[in-house]
This record gives sequence, structure tokens and C-alpha cells, in this order.
Amino acid sequence: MRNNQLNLGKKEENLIKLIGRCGFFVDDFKSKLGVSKHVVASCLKKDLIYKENAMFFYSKIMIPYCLTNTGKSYVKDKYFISPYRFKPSQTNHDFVLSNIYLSLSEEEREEWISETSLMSLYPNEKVTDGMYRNKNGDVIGVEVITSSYSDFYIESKMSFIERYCDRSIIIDSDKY
Amino acid sequence: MELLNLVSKDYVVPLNIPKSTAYKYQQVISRGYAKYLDAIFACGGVCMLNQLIDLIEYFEIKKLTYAGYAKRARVMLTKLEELGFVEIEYLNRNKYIILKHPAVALSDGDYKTHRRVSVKDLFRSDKFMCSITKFQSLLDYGYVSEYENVFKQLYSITGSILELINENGNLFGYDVDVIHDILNTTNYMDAISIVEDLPGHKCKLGIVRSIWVDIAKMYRKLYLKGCLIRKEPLHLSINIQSDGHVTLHYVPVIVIYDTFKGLDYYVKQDSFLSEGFFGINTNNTLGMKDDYQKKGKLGYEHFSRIGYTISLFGPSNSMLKLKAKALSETYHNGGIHSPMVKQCEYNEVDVDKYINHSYTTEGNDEMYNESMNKLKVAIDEMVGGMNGA
Repeated sequence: MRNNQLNLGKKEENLIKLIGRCGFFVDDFKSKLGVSKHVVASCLKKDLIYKENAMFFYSKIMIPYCLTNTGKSYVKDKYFISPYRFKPSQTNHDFVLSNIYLSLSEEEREEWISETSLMSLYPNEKVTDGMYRNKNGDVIGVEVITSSYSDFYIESKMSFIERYCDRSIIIDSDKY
Repeated sequence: MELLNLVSKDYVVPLNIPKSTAYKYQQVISRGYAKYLDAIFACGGVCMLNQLIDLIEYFEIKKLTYAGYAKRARVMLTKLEELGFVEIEYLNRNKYIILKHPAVALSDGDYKTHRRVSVKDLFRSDKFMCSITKFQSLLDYGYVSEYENVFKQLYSITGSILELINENGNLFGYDVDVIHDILNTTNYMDAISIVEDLPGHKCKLGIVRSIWVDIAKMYRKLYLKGCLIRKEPLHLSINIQSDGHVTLHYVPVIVIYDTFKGLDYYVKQDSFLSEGFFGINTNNTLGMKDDYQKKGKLGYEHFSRIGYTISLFGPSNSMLKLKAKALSETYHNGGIHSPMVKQCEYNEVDVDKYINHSYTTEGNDEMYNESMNKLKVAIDEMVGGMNGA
């Protein structure tokens, strides 16, 4: 199905934007995103998303949904989102990132820039996991750190935040 | 199910299969793969690849290296996948095997079986971890309780009661025809219906009524919670009195496979079990626990005495002991009426080694919820703080 022939409802759009910006969707996000299993089924049917293998997210086994190639092209063409690359080796990290995104207002979510987009915008920098502009107009850098990050790596992220962001949200995913 | 029994078990092509697929079943049987599928089926339909390799080592007569057993597993799984008997999926980076319908039919004996292994259901509830834990307990202890035992035991006890009644000329005047009807049912729900449809003043069933109303319904609830009953009860004696009435002394062993449940769950389970067994009609639990502890019997045979104990299988971590302690609360503090005659025993089953190295099974629903609550608070504070200033 060609991208420009797809007619998505608002909730379907919200779903694939979440996956485009944060890498995946799991059933636990349904209520926060305001989508039902029918919306998920519809996106599966339209070949925008697919089911990944089951994984542990903070000791709970869940099945993540990711963008298909069709889905990736769609979010690039329609919403100018460079899809975030979901990493199965750091499920907790990406889970926290998604939770941060989901706690934002709808307007703030529309201001979200994914890590992949940031890498294109700032090619020689260690960019953050995400960035958005809040309702006050401040640029907020979002970074989720884990115990596997070296001090040097964390410092380079902080230095990016200092140069390009007004404020930051930094969460250590291993603390939860 | 006992592992040893599988060694010499004969398998046949199940009933009602599509005729064109008979050769597939014959291939699986002739290659000796059926017993592996049977073991996986007995545990819930799922196992990790490494567990299957360990099972091959158990059955294999020829001594090989681990790599040798792994190769056997690969060859077997390739063939089974090709024939449509199994599906192989990943949990993080660990392979696991799910039985497909033909494999379930082979173990069940009939293609038209209602039993299924559903991937969606596996992860929606704790069936996946339960299956893995059961399989590991099969490997570690050589046996696993099957769901058939749950009601088979009640049928067996009813049969023994009927035999005793008949041997003694039915002095008490039990409605033996009704007991026959119960024994002729193939589904426990039908047995329960028979008893419920015939109230006490119309039909004299005595302890059989308690078995098929109170105990059977409790077993059903336990079964729906994923609990099983061990094949051999801790204690069973059926006694006939001089007036012909029959009493039952019975202590089943309730088998619980620990997965992601928190301590709270087991505290509630303890209450559920103690209230359920205490509340069985005609059950006299006074002093039963002390009698069992001192003499290994349940006391005065004039009364029916029905107690219970628990066998908990779970990952070897500190939580397992605490959960066993929670399940033994009635034993320790239930007083002289305690229906729990022996405290919960726990059996460590190492499943951590089959799961992602960065994950341990100390995680459970409670911990997940706790993590999520803390995370939510932290995120809300930070995001709110961004907008506040």
C-alpha cells in the first residue's frame, strides 16, 4: 500500500509516532497513549508495525511492536521523523525513554526530536536520546543513562546538553 | 509425570488427524522425538532450548559432550519445525520452543483436542515462566505434577469409598447408584453437577458430597490459578464405622510453581487455602495438625478430617523462602483448628540460567509495579519541573 494512500486515524497516528520517536510500543502503554488493541491490530494489518520477539522490560515479559520498513518510510515522509533505533540489548533504557515521552503533553510530543534526527543535525556530537521544546519555549534534552555508560560517555552527553539545551531530564534506568 | 516413564512409553498416531499428515507423526515417533514433545506438553507447552538440551542428555544412552547434545537438539528442532510440530521464538537472545497443534495432539492422543498452546496467552499471564519452571523441576527432580492428577485423585478416592461401602453391605444406605454415575463421568464439572442437582435430603452421599462439592470446587479454583495436586497425597485413609458410614482422612499436597507473584499473593493464597479447607462440610480439623505431627495420622477415625500441605517450586533466591514462610502462616499460627498439617516445603529450581543474564527471577509483579510507580513519580517531577519555572 503506497504511503500516500494510507488513511490513518488520530490514534493510529499517535501510535506510529510514538514508535517512530521512541522505537517501540508495548501493551503497557495503551492507556497512557489512549489506544486500544484495535488500533494496534489496524496498524499491524496496514503493515506499518510488526511484532518483535518477547523481551523482558523491568522483569516483565512483554512483546514490543516496532515499525516495519513501510512504517519507517511513512513516518519519514509524512511526519519528518527519523525513526529511533530500538535496541533489544537495552530494553529498560528504551522503556524509560518511552515513559518520558508519554508523560509529555500532546504539543510537547509534537516538538520531540529523536536521537536519530539529532545525529543528522549534529553529526560529530554525542547527542542525547531525545530533545523537545516545552510549553515555555525551553529546549529540553532527554537522556537515559545506564550503569554500562562510561564516565567519559556521560560527560560528552552532558556537554551536548550544555551547548544546545536550556534544561535537561536525566534518568538512570538502573535505579528502578 | 515421571521422566523415567517416558523412556519406555509407546506413542501412536493420534485419532482424527488429517490422513495426509499421518506420515509426519510416524516420522516424529520413529525418530524418537515424541517423548521430548510429551515432556514439554506435560509442563505447559514451552521450554527453553538449553532445557531441551539437558533433557536430551538425560535420555541419551551414549555419553556426549555438551556440544554433541546441542547438535542433537538442533537436528531435532530443524526436523520438528519442518514437520510443523514446533515453533522456535526468542526471549531476548534465548531460544525457546513452543508446541504447535500436531505436537499437542500427539501427546493428547486426539487431533480434536481442545488443548492449545497460545503465544499470546503465554505472555499475558505467567504461563510462560510457569512452564519453564515446571520443565526445570522435571529435570531437577525427575517428575512434574500434571493437571490430570487434580481430579483423578478425587475419582480414585470416590472409587475406593464405593468399594468399601459395597464390601460392607451398604449398612448406612448410601445412594450407590449416584456414586456410580459420578464415577462414570469423564469431566469433573459433570460430577459436580450430579451432586449439586441432588440435595442432601433426597440423596445420601455422605463424604462423597463434600468431595464433589467443596473439595472439587476448591481444586478447580486452584487449577485456574496454576496450582496442581501431587499424585501421592501426604496422607489418605478411608475408614468405615460400625454403622456403615464412611469417613475420610485426607491430606493432599498442593503444588505451586512460583513465577512472578509477590509476597502479598502468597499471603492471600494462605488465607484462601486455610478458609477453604476449614470450611469443607463435615470436616473436623480440631487437633488434626498436632495429631499428624506427633503420630503421623489425623486422629479419631469417627470424623472426616481433611487437611493440606504445600510444595512450592521456584527459582533459587531469597524470595522463595519468604514465600514458603507466607504459605505456612496457617501452619504456624492457625491454632488448634489449623487444616494445614505440615508446613510448606520449598524446592529450588534454577531457571535464572536460562533467562537473559541481566535478568533474575527475583523480579515479580510486585517489584515491577513498584519500579513503575517510582519511575512515574521521578518522571512526573522532572517533566513538571521543566514546565513549572
